[in-house]
Amino acid sequence: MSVRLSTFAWRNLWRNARRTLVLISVFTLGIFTMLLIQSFLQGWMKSTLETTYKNLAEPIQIHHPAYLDEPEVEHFFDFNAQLKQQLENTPDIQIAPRIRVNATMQSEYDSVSVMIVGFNPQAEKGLSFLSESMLTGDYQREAAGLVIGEKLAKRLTTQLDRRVVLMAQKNGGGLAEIGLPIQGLYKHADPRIEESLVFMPIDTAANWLNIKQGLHEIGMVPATDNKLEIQTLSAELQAAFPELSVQTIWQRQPILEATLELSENMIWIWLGFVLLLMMLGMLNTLMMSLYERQQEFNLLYSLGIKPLRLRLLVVYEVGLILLVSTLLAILLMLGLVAWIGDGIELQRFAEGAAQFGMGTKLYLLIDLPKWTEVLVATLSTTIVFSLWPIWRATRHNRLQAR
Amino acid sequence: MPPILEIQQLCKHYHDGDKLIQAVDQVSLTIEKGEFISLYGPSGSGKTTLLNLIGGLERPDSGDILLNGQSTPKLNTDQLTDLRLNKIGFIFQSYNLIPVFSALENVAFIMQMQGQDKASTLERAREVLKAVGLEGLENRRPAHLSGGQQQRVAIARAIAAKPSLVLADEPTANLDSQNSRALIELLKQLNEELNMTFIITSHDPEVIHFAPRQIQLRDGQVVSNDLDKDKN
Repeated sequence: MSVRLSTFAWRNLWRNARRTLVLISVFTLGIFTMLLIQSFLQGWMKSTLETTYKNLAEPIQIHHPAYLDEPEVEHFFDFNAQLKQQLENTPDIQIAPRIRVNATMQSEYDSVSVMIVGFNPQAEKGLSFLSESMLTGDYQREAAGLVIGEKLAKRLTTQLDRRVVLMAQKNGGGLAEIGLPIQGLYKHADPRIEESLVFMPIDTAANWLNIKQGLHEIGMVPATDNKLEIQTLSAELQAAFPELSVQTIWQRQPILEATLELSENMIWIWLGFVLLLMMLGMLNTLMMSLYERQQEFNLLYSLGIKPLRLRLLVVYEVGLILLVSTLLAILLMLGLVAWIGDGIELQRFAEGAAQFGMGTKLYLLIDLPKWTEVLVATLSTTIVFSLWPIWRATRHNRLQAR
Repeated sequence: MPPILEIQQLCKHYHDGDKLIQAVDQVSLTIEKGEFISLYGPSGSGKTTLLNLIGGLERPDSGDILLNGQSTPKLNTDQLTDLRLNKIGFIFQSYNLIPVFSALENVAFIMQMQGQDKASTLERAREVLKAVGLEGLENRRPAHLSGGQQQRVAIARAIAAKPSLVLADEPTANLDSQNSRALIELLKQLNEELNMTFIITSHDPEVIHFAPRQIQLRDGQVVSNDLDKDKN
């Protein structure tokens, strides 16, 4: 019987093709807009997280427990065999060991405060922004040398292959000085990073600062981007090494998490607004349609069709419109996603966006669970909203008069 | 054998502003199975109201209607709807076919709503359409049929499920005299062949006098209830 009603409903839709097409257009546009907002926001959030990770703020980081509050040279930890083995045995992660201290950098013209990052070029490859941001020179050279930002170079009025002097507190007390050549320049969207982060080989940094085998930080990027899995992995490592501090990015940067959560909540306000407009359009058209069809309902009722079946008939009609609209909206979205491809780099706004820690790539992320949430919300809201006019038009007392 | 329809002291009134209109007033009738009855009277005499009461489309203020011995005013709304679906066939003045269905589908629809399987309902619908002279037009939609043909489809729809009673409200009102005559002859033929009970309201003297039994209403009351001996 239900097959029969669905056929009846489908044919009814095309009795007034213009009205049906208007409704399908409204719903397609509405659902498309909602999927677009959702996909755009998910893409932006992912891009923001990826940008943050690449700015040496990986999903999981290991530090000396005091380091994050006081990033002093002596707050290092021993990269011992047990820790190495544990990390080697953890599947699907990339790790980057680092030494990080504040220092003063001096050229023959000026001196500025910088953050020294002692790094392993091989481990860092693909993890930090450095591999994608080199302007000139080579960050992978094994010889002792520095990679600095272009803006910092300008500020110090220095250039590639020129030597600069670094001065920092060394482990055990006293000042440590080292003179090194600049062997690479990088460019970064965030001027604060470009003017402050200075990279040098990790062995050079360890010798210079007298922290043999010591590290200030291990950055870890798991293959998964699932928050719960990352939190679980972090908790496992913390349990295995209670003398260290193992924290996720959400623990280290609660503001970032709050921003992303706020964005995720904002989307529902937007979606609610779009949904409301759709509902107004739908209710108006549906009520007109039901009013025009009152005679038909009366006839069917007279013939012995119960109000419940009449309601089911109109619900089928609304459902079919939704089905067609949803398919069209998904097709449009897939087309748009394919057209945009890997995303659009917003170079013009990159500096401003980077300063707020935001991603600079505009792309649409097909997040099936999120799409499902949007579609379920839209479809169920529409059906629920349509029930009221349908119920009104098919009440017994309304149907009495033939 | 008990009568198929027994109407006892039936009353129904309406309010038109402050005015009380007694649409059906103390009507009592007994109708036997297989009768062919015309119900006539001037506009406002209560014909359609009486038909609606018999068909369970309206509820009486007082009195009783026994269809096959079952008191219909005592049924709830859903039971009345089931009664209309299973026991009563309706033929309307303006055909009231479902425009998106073909003639065949229109006829099969009620049987399918009763829960009968699709194949057997389509077979039965073809049979009935043939019986009303519409063989070859099964797949046409109402918009592609003439008024007379549409009313024949409506008749086929009304009788296809073999109801106990067929109620026809001015079935020839929208037809020319030739079609009107052909249609009423068809109804009579079906009445005789199927032994189905027909109650037909009409203003048309030809239709009225074609029926063996004629019931005249005026101001909601039965003023004559004649059996035409020559035709019965």
